[in-house]
Amino acid sequence: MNGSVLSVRDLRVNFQTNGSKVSALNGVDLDLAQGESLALAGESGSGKSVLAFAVLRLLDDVADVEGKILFEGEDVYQMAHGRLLDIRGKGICLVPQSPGTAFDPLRKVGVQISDFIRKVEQIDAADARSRSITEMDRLGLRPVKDTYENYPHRMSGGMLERSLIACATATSSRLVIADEPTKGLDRRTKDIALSALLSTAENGALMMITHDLTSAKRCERTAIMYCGELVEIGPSESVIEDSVHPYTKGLIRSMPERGMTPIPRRVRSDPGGGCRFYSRCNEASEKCLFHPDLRMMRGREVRCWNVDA
Amino acid sequence: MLSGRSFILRKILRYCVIILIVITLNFLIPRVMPGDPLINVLGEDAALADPALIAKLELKYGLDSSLWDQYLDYIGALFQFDLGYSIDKSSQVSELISENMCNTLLLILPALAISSAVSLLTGSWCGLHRGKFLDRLMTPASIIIYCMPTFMLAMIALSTFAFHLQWFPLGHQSSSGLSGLKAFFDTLYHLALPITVLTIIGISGKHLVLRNSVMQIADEDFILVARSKGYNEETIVKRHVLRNVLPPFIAMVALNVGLLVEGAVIIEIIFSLNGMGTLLYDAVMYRDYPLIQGCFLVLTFTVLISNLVADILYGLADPRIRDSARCSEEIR
Ligand SMILES: Nc1ncnc2c1ncn2[C@@H]1O[C@H](COP(=O)(O)OP(=O)(O)O)[C@@H](O)[C@H]1O
Ligand SMILES: [Mg+2]
Repeated sequence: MNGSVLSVRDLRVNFQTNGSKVSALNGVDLDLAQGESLALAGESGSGKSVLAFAVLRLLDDVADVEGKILFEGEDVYQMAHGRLLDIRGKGICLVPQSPGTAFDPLRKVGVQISDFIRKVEQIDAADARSRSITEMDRLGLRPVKDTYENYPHRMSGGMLERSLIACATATSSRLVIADEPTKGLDRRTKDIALSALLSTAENGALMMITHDLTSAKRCERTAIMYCGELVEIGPSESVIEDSVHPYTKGLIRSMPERGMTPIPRRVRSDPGGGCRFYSRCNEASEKCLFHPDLRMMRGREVRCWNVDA
Repeated sequence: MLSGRSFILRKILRYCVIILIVITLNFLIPRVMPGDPLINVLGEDAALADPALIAKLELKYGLDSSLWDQYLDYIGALFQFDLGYSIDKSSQVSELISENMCNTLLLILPALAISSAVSLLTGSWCGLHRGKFLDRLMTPASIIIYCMPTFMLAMIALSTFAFHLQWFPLGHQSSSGLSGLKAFFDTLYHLALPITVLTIIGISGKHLVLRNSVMQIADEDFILVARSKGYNEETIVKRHVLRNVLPPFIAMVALNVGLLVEGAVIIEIIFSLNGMGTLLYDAVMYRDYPLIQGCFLVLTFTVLISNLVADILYGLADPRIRDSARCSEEIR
């Protein structure tokens, strides 16, 4: 099967917070095929985590979600609750953003991993335990027997992060969404974690949210998000090594190894309604007062008026 | 890693020190008060009447020896449950207290058990179903009852259900001359109303705190993560929400013991029941110092012991508490 694993169509998410409306996503389109890995990058607050939660339909209580999300052809927002519970965890596995608060503080970390494996794979407790120990060991959580028996508050952020990753890599879900899985990891453990995550894409798909463009390069494709919109999406090689959108170029320039020049907070005033990046863009022109659409250009899709084929 | 047993031993050791301090204060306070203890007991006229008798009594009660010797005697007596003699009631203080303590426990223990169980149910349900009918009924009612003075609630209950409706007797522990099963049901009939009042007071305090704890835990990140893993709501509530509400619940029940002891004192007086409340009330009225001292000591012990039990259970229920206890020990 080489079909579509995830397909997001014109996704819009609005939060109602005491009277005012906050739009977190403004029309996101995204496709992930079987065997594919996609990196999703962008500044904090651009809506990356909201996208992850929306895919799992976890925002029902707090936000208005419009658009369509298909997982293996099934509309996540139309399916019965029982089917949804089946897809969460078993079909789509989320590696959440904040390792420090993601585990129940009163239960041993290893037990929480085993419980999850046991539920998803429907194997007995002993098998689940040995499988989680194997996986924790692979991710460098050593000495593994002690780590297994530890409570979350006794573990560092990096150890908890890898424990969260272990949940995803020890099970065979068809889509793994990892939200900043490499933060708090040193170079060696980061490599191990990345390889483990990428290997899940072999019989499914991986969407990895990250701030680290070096890690993004290891995914096949990279998508750049700005203010709830994708502004550039295409093969990682092209998007990162040969970026064309002014925002992507800014992100690259702000990387430590590329000079660490931050994107300015504001260059000019924004009349609104045009390109969302207008006020901070150093290449803006008259055309940018109108909102640009994604256009195919130089082997990737870009949302910018000033890029020529 | 700190084992459960050494954690408990440390806690017990610490409470022993606190108990020693309480005993010492209980010993010292009457002795640093102005005036002579015997005069206090016998009245001003006694000193004028017969100095020889005073000297005899001083010898008898050991008041002629040094403070240190008196202290050792006092502790020695405590170990034999000897709390002194109540002249007013012509009886051993320890006997008076053990009789009345039983009655008070008969009031407090059922109230504590029932109110804990009920508030655990209503508090968690209302925390998980904010704004539903039961929540909108229970939560304001709890606030009103919690703010109401105990005597007022007791008076309202007494005048409504005992005086006007005559469903329950107006007071007293039991009718006399019954035995066996009859006596049990008779006591139940007499104590039903006071226990109910005390139970309602207990529920009001715990319901609110529990509801808020459950609401807070239900909003925690790990609950959302559990949901993302496809666990159903029943599993999430049982495995995560209720489990996490247990440590604050244990702490709250222990605090509640203090509240209920205080409530029982007032309720016993209003419902004319025998118990620590009426005993202490009489002791204060007649300035029966050995009895006051004994009552205070026993009530303090009750609260201390309930705190010790809560401390141990709290640590067993929450590994973070166990670890922070270890850290503070190590720093010292
Ligand atoms: N529960 C919420 N209520 C209101 N606003 C929210 C909520 N969650 C996220 N947002 C808003 O959505 C936007 C995107 O957030 P997020 O997806 O967490 O960003 P990031 O790209 O850093 O992961 C932010 O502006 C944030 O304020
Ligand atoms: Mg995020």
